[in-house]
Amino acid sequence: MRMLMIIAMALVLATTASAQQDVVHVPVPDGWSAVDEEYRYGRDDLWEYINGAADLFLSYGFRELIVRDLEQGDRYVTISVYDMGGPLDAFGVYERERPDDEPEITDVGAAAVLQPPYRGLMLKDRFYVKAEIAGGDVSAGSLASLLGDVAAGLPGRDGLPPQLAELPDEGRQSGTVAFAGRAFLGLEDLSSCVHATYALADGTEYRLFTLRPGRALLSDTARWNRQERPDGRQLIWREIPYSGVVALLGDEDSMLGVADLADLDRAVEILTAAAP
Amino acid sequence: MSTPPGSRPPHDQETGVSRRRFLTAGGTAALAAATGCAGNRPATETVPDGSPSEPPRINRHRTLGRTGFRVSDIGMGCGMISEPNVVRYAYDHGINLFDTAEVYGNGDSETKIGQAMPHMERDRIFIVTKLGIDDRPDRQAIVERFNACLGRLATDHVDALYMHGIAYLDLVTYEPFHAACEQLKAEGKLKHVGISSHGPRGDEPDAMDTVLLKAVADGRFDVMLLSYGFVNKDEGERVLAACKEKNVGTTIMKSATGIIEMPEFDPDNPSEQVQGWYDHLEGTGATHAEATERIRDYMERRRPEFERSLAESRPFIERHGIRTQEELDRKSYQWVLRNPDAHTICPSLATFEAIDRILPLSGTQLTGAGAAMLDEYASAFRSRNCRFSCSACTSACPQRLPVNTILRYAYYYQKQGRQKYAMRKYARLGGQNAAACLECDAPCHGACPQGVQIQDRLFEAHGLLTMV
Repeated sequence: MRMLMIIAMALVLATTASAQQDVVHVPVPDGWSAVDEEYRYGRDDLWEYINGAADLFLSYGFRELIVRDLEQGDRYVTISVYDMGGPLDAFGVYERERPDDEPEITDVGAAAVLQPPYRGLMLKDRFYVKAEIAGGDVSAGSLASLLGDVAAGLPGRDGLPPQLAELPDEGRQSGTVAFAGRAFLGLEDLSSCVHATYALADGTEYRLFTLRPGRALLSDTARWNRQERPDGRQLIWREIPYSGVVALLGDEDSMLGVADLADLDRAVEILTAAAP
Repeated sequence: MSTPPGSRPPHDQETGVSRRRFLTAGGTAALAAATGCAGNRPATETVPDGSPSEPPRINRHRTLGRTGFRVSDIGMGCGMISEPNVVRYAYDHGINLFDTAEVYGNGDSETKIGQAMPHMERDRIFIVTKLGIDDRPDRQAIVERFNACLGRLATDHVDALYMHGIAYLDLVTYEPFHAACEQLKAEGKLKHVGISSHGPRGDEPDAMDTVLLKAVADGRFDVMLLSYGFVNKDEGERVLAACKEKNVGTTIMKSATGIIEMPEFDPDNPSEQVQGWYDHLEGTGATHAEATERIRDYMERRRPEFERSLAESRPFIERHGIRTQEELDRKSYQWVLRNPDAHTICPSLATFEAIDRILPLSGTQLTGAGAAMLDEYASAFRSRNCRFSCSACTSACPQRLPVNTILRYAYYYQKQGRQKYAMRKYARLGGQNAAACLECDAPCHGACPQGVQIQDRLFEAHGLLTMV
């Protein structure tokens, strides 16, 4: 049931870009020409193109995939534009797929990275783009340049989603901000979470996250403990196998959470300091 | 754990919350208690040994074909995992097959399994990963990609490497892949070769059973991943029978795809499902009005697909008296679990709760009407369906008609809805078609070891495929 809900929810999100949005095409930069026609994959048939990897995209609100091969002499590159419905969902899947050990390249979309030997990944607005070398000798510089041109040809803004700024800066580990479409921490009740890793002075690492709590989280007393704070905010907490406590503080519109700490009191201290 | 913070002794003096306890407990009781959602065992079904108070865990193992590995009857599809502890949790509850792929999260799924690897005994688990070969990479590229998988998985070997999502028949014998596997086996990095297929793709691709039956016949594949459930049972049964004959291991996906009812949209009183959509949409920035509009639009667009899915599910639902979606999912899995030729199911398990829900199904099976239905089906299957890969009847036909091929085309027409494709294929047989049966006294009668009435089925097929 849950899985059906997730997939179905993703299907809803697939329409979230709304019918009013213009039909998007793969940009064909100067110096490149299109080979054959565009291929489009929707919610039903994404698996035909990427098999079981489709589940992850659907959980992030995938709307449509547009694929086109480009050529320049004897060089061929396949461009895949994933319309994820919204910038936060596009950012989330980009972060999931971005290789940790490769530096990001600058001035290309909102974020971009090359993954040798044959792939470049890029984020712009609600689009997550892959450029994959399909033939010929394409240098890293050429691939980065092509990604930049594709980004320029796509609608929307280049910046990162504004929700990412809701997490506090102090103590945050560089490059750890991410967005979980669903099942953050392996828990069904934690979806649509912006999260990042932080470190205490003693080196203890923990994760902070923000979310708009769903009805299940607010009402489930079987799995979650809860306490009304003197300021009217709710404190909700539970244990997670192997990793200690997860606790959230806030109201029905917005909550800040902390995870990976063994001690609930310490978790509450951190929450109240971060959201006084 | 129910005591509010600030009103109790330090945590490490208590019974429930200390990190040390979590890290050292290891036992399933503590883990199940921690999630607080051990799941409910249906009263009407057979249950595994053990008292009801025991936490759920795997209760049945099967031999995964000629790999010889004793696999848990429930495996873990890892396409959506984001937390290594979920993998560890599955392992601690007895799940011992983990199915991933290079393309799942661009390697992220493999990385998460690798992060859980220090907590698992390597020899007690079976790791499957997969490489797509649609772009026909050379042997060296396949070896390099496999080595990157090994690094992410933090292990020195993989138990099975699958060709991923094969939809074209010629890829089954794609020699650079097989050469790469031979090299990796010789290097001790790979134990077994496998293949997965979802079904037809593109304009004129080959169906799942066509691909996998060829793989079985090829002989180099030790294990495979296929779609199998009550809504797509015909193809699956065909593949499972062939696998059994050749002792090929089978892992199952897409077992629970039915729906119990049409989703209804009432913005003032949203169902749990619709509320979940609202939560996500509003959680990613949509206003309530925008979310309402999008959900309404979505419901309208998807109505035909929901109707089709519901129509496919209805006979099964009525037969079993199923009343909820969760019950339908559970019985769908049990429908597969009852079949000993399906060695393990691999549902996507991304949360602790999902694992808790499915574990009680291990070792269970449908009973009563469910079992009878399966038996009826098996009997009907044997006498109605040609196995396609078999050609035992060919010598009995004086015209040497390709009986299995003709009946396969009829299957494309009837079961897959690919009428034009099937008719075109049949037309290409020229004079080798079933029109010849009209003048024949059927020496083929009794020639099918499965009991298929060959001439009757050929007449039917000819009528379908020629519109006569």
